[in-house]
Amino acid sequence: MPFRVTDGSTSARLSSQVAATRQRIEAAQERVATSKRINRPSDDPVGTEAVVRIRTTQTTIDKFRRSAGSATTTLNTADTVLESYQQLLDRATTAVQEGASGASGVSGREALAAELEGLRTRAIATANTRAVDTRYIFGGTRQNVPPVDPTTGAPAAGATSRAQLQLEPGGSPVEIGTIAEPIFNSPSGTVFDTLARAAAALRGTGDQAADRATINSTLVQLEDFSGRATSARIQVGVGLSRVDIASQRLDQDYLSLETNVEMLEAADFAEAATDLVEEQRSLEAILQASSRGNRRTLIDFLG
Amino acid sequence: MGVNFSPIEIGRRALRASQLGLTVAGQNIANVNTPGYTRQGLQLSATPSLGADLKLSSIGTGVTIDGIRSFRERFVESRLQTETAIAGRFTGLRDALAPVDAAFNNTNEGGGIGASLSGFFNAFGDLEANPISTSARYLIVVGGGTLGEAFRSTRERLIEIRRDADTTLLATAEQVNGLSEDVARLNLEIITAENAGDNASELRDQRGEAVRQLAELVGARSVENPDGTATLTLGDGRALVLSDRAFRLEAVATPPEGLTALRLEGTPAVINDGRVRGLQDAMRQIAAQVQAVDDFAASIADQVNTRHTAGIDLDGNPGQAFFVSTDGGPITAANLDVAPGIKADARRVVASASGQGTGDGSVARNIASLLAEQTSTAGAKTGTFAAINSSIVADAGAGVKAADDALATQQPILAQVIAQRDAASGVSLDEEAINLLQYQKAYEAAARFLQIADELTRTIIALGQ
Repeated sequence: MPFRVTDGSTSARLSSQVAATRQRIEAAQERVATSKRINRPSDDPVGTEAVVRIRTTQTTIDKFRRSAGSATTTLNTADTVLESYQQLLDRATTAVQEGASGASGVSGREALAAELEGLRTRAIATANTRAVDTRYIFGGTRQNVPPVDPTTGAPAAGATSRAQLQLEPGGSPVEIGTIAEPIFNSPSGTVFDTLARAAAALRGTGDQAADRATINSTLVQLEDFSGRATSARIQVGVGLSRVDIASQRLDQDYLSLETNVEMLEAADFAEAATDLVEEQRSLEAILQASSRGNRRTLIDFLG
Repeated sequence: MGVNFSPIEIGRRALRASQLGLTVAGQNIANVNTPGYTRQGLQLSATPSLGADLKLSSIGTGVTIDGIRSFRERFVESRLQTETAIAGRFTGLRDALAPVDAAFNNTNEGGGIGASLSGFFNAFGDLEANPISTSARYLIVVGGGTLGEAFRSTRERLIEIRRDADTTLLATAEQVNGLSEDVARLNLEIITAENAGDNASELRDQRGEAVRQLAELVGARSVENPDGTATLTLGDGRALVLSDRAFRLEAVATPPEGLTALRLEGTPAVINDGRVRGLQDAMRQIAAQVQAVDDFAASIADQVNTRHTAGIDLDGNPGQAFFVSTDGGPITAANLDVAPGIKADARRVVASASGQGTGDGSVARNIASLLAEQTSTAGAKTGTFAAINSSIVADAGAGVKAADDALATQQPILAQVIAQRDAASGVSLDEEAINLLQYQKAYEAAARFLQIADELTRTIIALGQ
């Protein structure tokens, strides 16, 4: 503190005090108005770095949540389609058993054969089902052609594998969904060929012994295909479960990150409001003190 | 006692001294708010006695005006120049860097490189979930364009901030030249006045104020010479003002961007303090930020292109480079854009690996994972693209904050030195009022003394009649 105080130094000190107080008021007002303590990178560079990084991670988690949602929809559709396919196989089994029982006459077996052919057509359509996002549910990585030929039901050419999807940040991709080959194919041929052969046998090929053998083997093959459908549904169920678990972790991670961002970025409203009031009071006090203290000099008192 | 002319002379001298004292006090009062004014005071001394022939004790012959003293302390003035120069540097730096905050303000959602970065890479993540989707591909093309635009606008904003600083630098150099010429002129006027025996205090104050402004602008240091002139030098000791000569700072536009370089007598001027140095430091920091953004854009393009060309598009064609430069040169933040072929046909966006079916999303996944891959590099920075982006933003904020903090630290120091200067050289109205009173009373007393001396003289003369 200088020994000699002049009018100039008093004014300068007052100006700087008022300016500094007004700056603090402005800063407090901003914190109250935005409820944030970081409103620009220079407010807290280290905090900014963390906030920006966390926000980016949150957008990534949002992306994974979308992927999980899309995967869930596709898998649920696959499960519904497989359930419907199993019902189709059950109906086919019943039809074959009915035809094999001998209770139906020629016309009855003809009707059952026609039904089997209809079921075959539906089975091909089932294999070539598309999800809402236009992918072939049973296409896997081969999406440029239907999984099976729409007429013959023959498996499409070209290799395929189950599609993979990364479910979480830093996680390895997991296989999601199913492919047609294990479901609609077996060592004895496709389910479509089985149904076609069964329909022909019910109509009668002229070789009764062969027809009976075909019908018997059809029942065994249909049971096998039903088991394959069940395995596929289990795969789908496992996929749904993994997606669901990943989704829950993603939700928790998002919430945790949001909490971190809040801690870094958010202003304590009560503290900010208190600071604002205190600084405003401080400004009033400075202005009042200066108006009382600096009004008069000795010159005013001399006659 | 001899002839009574001596008292009259004493009275005359007393009146003159009091009159001058009142004038000096009045001058101080008139300049109480003049920036850089140094208060003055009358220097008086008693005139010695006439000689040894007086039988009585020596009696003086009145008061002598020795001169008018300026209460100027060189040490404080020198320190004021130093601290003003430092404050000037931080002010220049802070003012030039303040807009950088807005250019990098990614803390809010939406806008800026950060949001575009997330949008682009996460769009590839969405494509992984549905590798045959054309709408997801379209969003990737849009996201790539948005990312390019974000880089361009951020870079352009930085260039504009640097251009503004350069314009300020140019204007400041002109201001410096004007002030240098003022100091040179005042040097001459001071020598002329003082050689003629006049008081040059006001001229010295004007020169002091000009020197202070030069210290604030270019960190000039002054040294007073025995002849009363002041020599001003820059950071490397080269003269800016030498006696009555001022040396101009030349502003030269340097390639490739035409930014200003300052020269003094043909060689680069070395400026270590002052606003000019602050502006130069700010321009260097902004140039580094531009480079960081350019490196970042180039790295993103390189990594995305490498992975994109390793896969196949929706029609099974080999992937092409996703990002290209719009001007054919190396990719920077100024020219990053999506390849025209991909913009024209979003089916060209790659999701699948070569040899796999179009339902494979592994390439899309690889590209999406770049946001979180730890081994990415951009210039000297390494880490995930997300971390590199946040680091660039934080560095920009740190630069602004450092300038703010430095100025906030310097301002109280400068205020304290100004207060010291004011304590030594400033005008106090209370003191001047006391001086007025003092000299007024002295004037009145001297006038009364003269009146009495006159009556005594009349009495003696009357005796002879």
